[in-house]
Amino acid sequence: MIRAIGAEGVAWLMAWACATVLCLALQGCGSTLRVHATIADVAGATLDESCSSVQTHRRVQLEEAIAAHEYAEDAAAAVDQVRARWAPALDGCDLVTTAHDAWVDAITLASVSGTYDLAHAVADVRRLLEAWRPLVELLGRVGIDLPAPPPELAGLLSGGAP
Amino acid sequence: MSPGQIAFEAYNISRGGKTHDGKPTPPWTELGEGVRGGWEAAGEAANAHGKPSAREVTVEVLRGVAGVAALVGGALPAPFATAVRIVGAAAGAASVGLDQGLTDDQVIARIHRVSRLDVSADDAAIDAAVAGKPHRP
Repeated sequence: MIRAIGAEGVAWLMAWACATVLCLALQGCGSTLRVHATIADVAGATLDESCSSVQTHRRVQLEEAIAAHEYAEDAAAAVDQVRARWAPALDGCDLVTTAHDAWVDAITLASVSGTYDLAHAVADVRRLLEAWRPLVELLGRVGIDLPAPPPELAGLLSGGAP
Repeated sequence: MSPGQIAFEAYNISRGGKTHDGKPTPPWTELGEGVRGGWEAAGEAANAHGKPSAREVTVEVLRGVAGVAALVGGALPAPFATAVRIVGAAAGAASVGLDQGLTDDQVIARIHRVSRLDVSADDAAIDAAVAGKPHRP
C-alpha cells in the first residue's frame, strides 16, 4: 500500500512537472485560460486512462462468469453479480466525465467569447474534485488504480491558477 | 580559427588561392575589418544552420521520455505501470505542444476529454451468450 501511494505520488509529481514544462515553454503560458486548459488536458488523460480500463476489465469478468457456468441460470446469476460489482465504478466514471466535460466546455466557450468567468471555472473544478475523490476508492475496490487529484487541480480553486 | 576565417580559407582553397582577377588572395590577417566582418557573419550563419534550437532539443527529450514510458510501462506491475503511463502521456502531450508551437486556441482544442463509457454493446453480447446456454434440466 505504501509502495503504491509512493508510486502514485511520484507519478503525479513527474506528470505535473511535464505539464509545467509545456506551460512554461509555450508562448502565453501566463494566461489563466491556458493554465486551466493545460491542467484540464492532463487531468482528462489521467481519468480517461483509468475509466477506459473499467470497461475492459468489466467485459473480461463478464466473459469469465459465462465461461465458468454450464447452465443459463447459473451464468445469469454470475453475470448479475459482476454487473453489480462494477456498477458503482461505472457511475463514478460517468459523474467525473460529466464534471470534466463541463469544465472543458467552459474553457472552450471562454476561448470564443474572450472572457473566462473565474467564479464559474472554480465551481467546475470543485465539481470535478468532488467526483474524482470518491472515484479513487470506487476504482480501487475493483482493482483499478486512479491517482488522487493532484494539488495543482485543487490550487485552481484559490485564484484560478496554481 | 574563427568561423569567418574557416569560411574564408575554404573559399580560398576552392578558388586556387586567386582573387576574381587572378591575383593572389591576401592572407586573412591582411583583410580589411569590413571584409573580415562579412566573412564572420557568413561563418556564423553556416554554423547556426542545422543546429537544433533549445525548443527542438526539448521536444526530442520529451519524445524520448514518452517513448521510453510506452516501452517500459507495459512491463511493470500495476501501480508503477500507471505512474509511468501518466508520465509518458504528459511528456507526449508536451512534446507535441512544443513541436507545433500551439496557440491558446489550439491548446484548448486539444484538451483530452474523458471518453464516456457505453457498456450497452458489451451487455447485449453477454445477454446473448447467456441466452445461448442450455437450461438446467
